[in-house]
Parts: sequence; C-alpha cells; structure tokens
Amino acid sequence: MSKPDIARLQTIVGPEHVKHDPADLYVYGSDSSVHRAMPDAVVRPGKVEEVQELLRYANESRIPVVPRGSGSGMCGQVVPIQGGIVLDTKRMNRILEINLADVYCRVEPGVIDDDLNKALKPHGVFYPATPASSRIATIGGEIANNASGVRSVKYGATRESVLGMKVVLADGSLVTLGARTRVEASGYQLERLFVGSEGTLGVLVEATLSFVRIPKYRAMGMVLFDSLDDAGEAIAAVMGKGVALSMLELVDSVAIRAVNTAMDLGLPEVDAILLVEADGMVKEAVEYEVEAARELCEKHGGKLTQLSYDPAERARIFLGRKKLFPALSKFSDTMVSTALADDMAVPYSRMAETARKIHEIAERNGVVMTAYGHCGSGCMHTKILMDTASSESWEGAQRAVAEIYEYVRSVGGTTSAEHGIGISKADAFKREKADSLDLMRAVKRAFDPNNILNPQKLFDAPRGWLTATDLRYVASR
Amino acid sequence: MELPRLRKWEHQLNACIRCGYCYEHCPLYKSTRWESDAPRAKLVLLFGLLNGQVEPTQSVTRRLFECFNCKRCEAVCSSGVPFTEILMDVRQDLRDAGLDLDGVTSLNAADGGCAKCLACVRVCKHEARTVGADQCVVVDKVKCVGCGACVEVCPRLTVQLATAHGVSSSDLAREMGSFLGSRPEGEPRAIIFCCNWSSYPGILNSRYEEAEPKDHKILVNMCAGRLPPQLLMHAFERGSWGVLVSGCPEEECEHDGNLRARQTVQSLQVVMGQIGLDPRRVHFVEVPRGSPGTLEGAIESFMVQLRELGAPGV
Ligand SMILES: Cc1cc2nc3c(=O)[nH]c(=O)nc-3n(C[C@H](O)[C@H](O)[C@H](O)COP(=O)(O)OP(=O)(O)OC[C@H]3O[C@@H](n4cnc5c(N)ncnc54)[C@H](O)[C@@H]3O)c2cc1C
Repeated sequence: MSKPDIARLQTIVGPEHVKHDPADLYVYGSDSSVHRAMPDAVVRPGKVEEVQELLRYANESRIPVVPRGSGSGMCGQVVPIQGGIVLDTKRMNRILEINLADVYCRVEPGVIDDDLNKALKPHGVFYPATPASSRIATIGGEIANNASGVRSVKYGATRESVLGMKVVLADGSLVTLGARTRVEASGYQLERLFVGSEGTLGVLVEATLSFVRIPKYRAMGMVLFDSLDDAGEAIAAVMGKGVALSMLELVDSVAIRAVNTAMDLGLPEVDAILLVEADGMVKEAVEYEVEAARELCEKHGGKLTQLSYDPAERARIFLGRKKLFPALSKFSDTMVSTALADDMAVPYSRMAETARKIHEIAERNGVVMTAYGHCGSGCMHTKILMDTASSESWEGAQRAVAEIYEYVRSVGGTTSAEHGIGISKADAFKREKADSLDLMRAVKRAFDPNNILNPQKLFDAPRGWLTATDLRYVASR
Repeated sequence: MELPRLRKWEHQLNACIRCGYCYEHCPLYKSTRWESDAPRAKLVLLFGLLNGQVEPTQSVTRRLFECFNCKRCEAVCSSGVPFTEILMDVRQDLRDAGLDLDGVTSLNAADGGCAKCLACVRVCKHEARTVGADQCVVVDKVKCVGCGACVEVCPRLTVQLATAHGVSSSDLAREMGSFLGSRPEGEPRAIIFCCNWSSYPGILNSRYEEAEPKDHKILVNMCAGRLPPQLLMHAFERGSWGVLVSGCPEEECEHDGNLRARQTVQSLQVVMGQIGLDPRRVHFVEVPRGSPGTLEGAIESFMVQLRELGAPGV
C-alpha cells in the first residue's frame, strides 16, 4: 500500500480540510476500542464529488481509505491498521429532506443521530434505531455498524429503518441502492449488504431512512428478581409469548453494585433487575402489554415496582441503566473499564445462563465483568474491568474473551449484537462464520478489487486481537 | 521529557473510555469540527506524551494551551476525568521544560501601548495577570483561562486573546451583520448573545436549513460580561429589532461577567430611552447551566414582545 500525496488531497478537498500533523494523526488513530494505529492523513470532504475524486485517486494509487463518523465504535472499526487516509464525514452533515407524507427522510452520513431526532420531533415522529451513543454517533457510522438500542426490541435495528442509500464505490463511481418506498422486492438487496459492512464496501454519502410516530403513552417499571435464573426465564417467557414491549433491559448484580457504588442511586440490591417499558397511542393498549409482562414476570418470581407514565419518573427509573456505563469506569481506583467482549447476542432462553457464564469466566481469568443489555433483543453487553498496566491481566482478558465467544457460539448465539466486529471481535467472528467467509471475501473483491476500503477488518483482520495493533494502554508490568 | 505532574494522572488517562460525549459540549470542537480539538483528543494526546508515543512539539503544546476552561466536558464525562486540572498540570510541566505557547490566552500587544492602568490585573479572577518590573503586566499562561475579561476592560485595546475561535467582538460583529443584512425588509430580526459557560445551546452538530430560525440569530460568546456596549448598539444600527443577552446566574458566574453584563444592558437601556428606542428591546436573562429550556422560553417570549413593538422607529 502507498502513502497519500498531501498536496493532491489538498487540491481535492481544500487545504483547510486536510490534516497531516502527527498530533492530529495520533488522535485519529483511535476510537472507543483498545486499538491504536496511525493514519497518514485525515480529510474532510464536503460533497459527494469530493468523495468520488478522493476514492478515484486512492484506488489508482492503492492507498487505504477508512471512512470515519465520530469514532465511537468499540471494536477498532476505524483504526487505520494499514495507515492511509481517514475520511472524516463530519462536514457532510445536512438533513436534506423530511418527507412526512411518504414517511422518509434523507440525510448525509455525518448527521448526528440526536440531531436527526431533534429535527423530527416537532413533526411528532422519531428515528427509532438509536444507540445509547446517539449524542455523538453519525448516521453513516450507525448504518455501517447496524447499530441498535434500547427500543430495538420493538422497532428493530438500523437495518429495519434503512430504505435506500447513495454510495461511492472504491473506483469513485456513485450508485443508488434501495428505494424510497416501504417495500421493494426485486434484485439483490444491496442496500442491506451495506448495513453492517463497517466501511469495507464503499463510502455512504446519503441515506434514506424511515421513521415512526412518537407514542402518546409510555409506561416504565422495574422488575426485581432474587435470582438471575428467574429473570432469565422471565425474559424468555415475555418474549416467547410475544408481549410487545418497547424496552426490556437486564441489569445484573455486579452492575447494580457498580451503579450504587459510583453514584449512590440506591438501586435495590437484588440478583437481577429487568426494566420494562411499553408504549402506544392508547393507554389501554400500553396497560395491556405491561400487565402481560407483569403476569409472566411474577410467575417467575419477579416483582414489578415503580411503574410510571410520568416522563420525569421514567427518566429516574432509567437512570440506573443509563449511568451503568459511566459507573463501570469508576468501579475501582486500580481497574479501568475496557471495551472487550463488549457485546454478543444469545437466544432468549440462554440469557441468564450467559450472564452466569460471563461471571464464571471472568473469575477464572482474574478480571471483573458485568452482564447487562437489551435482553429484549437477545443482546448482552459486558465490559472487562482490569488493571491495564499488568501483562497478566491482559493475558487473562485474552483468555476470557476467547472463552466467552466460544460459549456464545456453542449456544447458537452470535458474536455481535450491535457493536460490530472491527478488529477486537474478528477472531470470534471468523470462527462463527467459517463457512461463509469465502463468500464475504468474494463480495469484498467484487466491490473493492484493490482492497483499499478499511482493509484488515472483519474477516480480514489479523489473527489475535491483542497483537493485531498497538493498544491504547501500556502494560508496564 | 519528564512530565512529573502529568504522570500522577496516568490512571485517569486510562480510565477515559473515549466515548466522545464531551464533543458536543466543547466550544473549541464546535468551532473547528476537528476531532483533534475535542477534550477526548487532548486526553489521547496526553496519554501519548506520557508514554513517549507523541513528541512534545509546538503543535502538541499549542493544542494543550487551547482550551477555554469552561469545564462543560468535565460535567458530562462518563469516567469523571478532571480534565482541566490535568490540563493545568501538563501546561506547567511543559512550561518547566521550556515550552509554552499562546493558545487561547490573553496577551498584551507586542508594540506596547499599555497605559499601565492595571485594570486587566484587577479584573482577572484567575491570578493570571500580575505586575512585573517597570509596572509591566505579566501574563501567566498556565493560569490564564482565556475568559477575556481583561480584553474588555483594556482602555487602549492592548489586550487581545491570542486565538479567539470565532468569539472575538469583531467575529461576532461580522456574523451579526451578515444575518441582519440577509433578512427581508420589514421582517422581525433579533440577535441573541449566549454565554458559553452556561447557556451555550446544544448547537446542532448537523445542519438542517429548513429548521433554522429565521427571525433571530444565536451568537455564542465566551462570557456575557465581555460584550462591549458598542457591539450591542451596533446590532441596532444594522437593523436589529432587539438584542437579548443571556448569562449565568450570579452564583454560577466565574468572572463577575454576569454583573458586568447586567450593567451593560442597564446602561444601554438608559441610552435607548434617551434616543427614543423602547428600552425593552434590550434584555438580560439568567440561564443556569444545563437548562436549555430556559433559554428557548426566553427567546420565544422576547420575539413575541418584539413583534408587538414592531420595527424600531429610529
Ligand atoms: C458509550 C457508548 C455507547 C454505545 N452504545 C451503543 C448502543 O447502544 N448500540 C450500538 O449499536 N452501538 C453502541 N455504541 C457503539 C457505536 O457508538 C455505534 O456503533 C455507532 O453507530 C458508531 O457511530 P460512529 O459515527 O461513531 O461511527 P465510527 O465509529 O466512526 O465508525 C463505525 C464504522 O462505520 C464505518 N463508517 C462510518 N461512516 C461511514 C460512511 N459514511 N460510509 C461507510 N462506512 C462508514 C466506519 O468505517 C466504521 O467501520 C456505543 C459506543 C459508546 C462509546
């Protein structure tokens, strides 16, 4: 692979939109993951034609190009493992159209999720596939990662909201994929192929997204369980019976302790908490779902408390879940929270077992882990809390990650529920998808024969995440 | 290079989970939209400095001296990283090593002109300005937080911020002029000055032209107390129907800016009465930190009032 000619990049996007100072490059070499690598240049194109010209040049000269939204990915998706050009989409940040009659909006890739929802709100609609990181995540990053969030149990992941898109391919050509209509039957669904492709197939320059009505009523409550297994059975019962909840979140005992220790929220110190929410335009319909969930949870030993329709009260109930991530990073003065084994999905019936397994594996390998997540979508999150200065901790973490994903695979789960694969989950991904990797490689070759787009990610990432790149931490002992 | 003060923050640098939630609160990031200007990036750089992966170049040093110390990033930090404290420490380390740069600090113009009135020394809340030999004012670049209070009291315009990132009086005047000039004849128009420290609205990182308010323009400045009366008056000269100044509540203001802004508005109201302009056209509103709703409400009622008052007759 070659290095970019800075003067050429400056001609394409304008000198003020190119950075090549080592200080900038160092910063743009990392994201929210454990990985780090230096690009050779960062460019901020302002329009589609500039993206086309950049890719034409990079393709001819065999220079890697890594599309980047806000760099909030947790698996090293935007870490430029082979150097090259980081293509920052933040100048392509216009909401182009909100079409209420035809129920779609068109946006540029650098639009921030929360900003889109702010623009939609006055019209009484919202874009639902919102991740917890919506205040910084870009629509481009969400599509390329197939992000989802707390309400995906009812409204689906990003892929359910993407109707169509415009993409610049590696050779600089511009293609329009999908449609603006709700349905489209014929041909390969190429727009779907781009959802979750992690910047390896093309640069998304415009997306057409659907939205849904903001419900008039939302009710939220907390179900307390004395046993994690009971909570797991309740999840399977609620989902198995088709109760239409708009949120079903699990918080385990380690997580509860972490939140209480870090911010004194006074969450009940039980073995597991389920947060349940139902929404709708008619109160009776919401009540119907809440009652159905209450009945099934009670059958499995759960106790529904603090049920409320009041927005402020709901926000208070949700605070424990919302503050969980920050709480983990304040867990102890010697350990820090690392984005490892951060997400996975398992069948509903395996939720509780998975949580227990995570604790068991963590203990065996000398690290601390918690289990929480959007269990209504089968999504389980965790973080590895460890002393990053100790090489021993890293070895333990490496074993723990491998064991967890081995277990997930053994119960029919999948490596990524929503955070993607990037570099840190690639080992597990390759094992899980062993019989379709060749097909994926063939698709990649068809789109990007010179392998310039976000190379060495997903199926092509180096073996062994621990040595794949430099780490953002220094193990000094 | 030895960085003893920075070294004690090693755990905090590791604890940053790099979520990037600080971006939307950082005035510097909002001004440049380069990730490398955001607080998260500064922590990344500090990590690199500490571990010898980043050379302490002029460019790195400049970045570390470019921060308005508004502490908004700290307030939202997932990991509770005491960002400004760390930054102050590393600045001191760098200075000890013979490296310091102007960043956003305040400077006295090189060609002199200082009246030695010491108004800038008295107004500084951060002990960044002291009197040196020959009654010369000395600026401590580590302590200076770039609030700009000294800029506004300097009678000879000798004091300037090294870099203002769009918030200097001339930048604001330019933006104001272009908005007011773009409004059609007879349509209401107003300028809303927002203080970065408190009421800086969650200015969208995305653009949606249709939704942009047509009748008023929000201009962010670093402290309400820094707004010179001439700038407010200039808005009327350029056809504005009104000027709303928002600042921190008294107990939240770190530079007495709130009091000065109030005084500016009050004296302007007197002048306006004298020249036949309704004093209600200029108004001060207190907006506590983290309450964007208060600002939105204040703007709405201000615009309703301006519509009732109609176009200014002078
Ligand atoms: C605190 C925190 C909470 C999070 N919570 C969630 C959550 O609840 N749900 C969830 O799903 N994720 C979550 N994430 C992960 C992450 O925020 C999401 O995956 C998000 O969608 C990434 O958006 P981004 O703009 O930061 O993308 P980046 O990290 O910049 O990029 C992600 C991927 O998208 C590609 N990409 C970006 N833009 C384009 C484009 N225009 N064309 C082609 N490819 C592109 C990149 O190459 C990369 O592969 C969380 C992260 C953090 C730090």
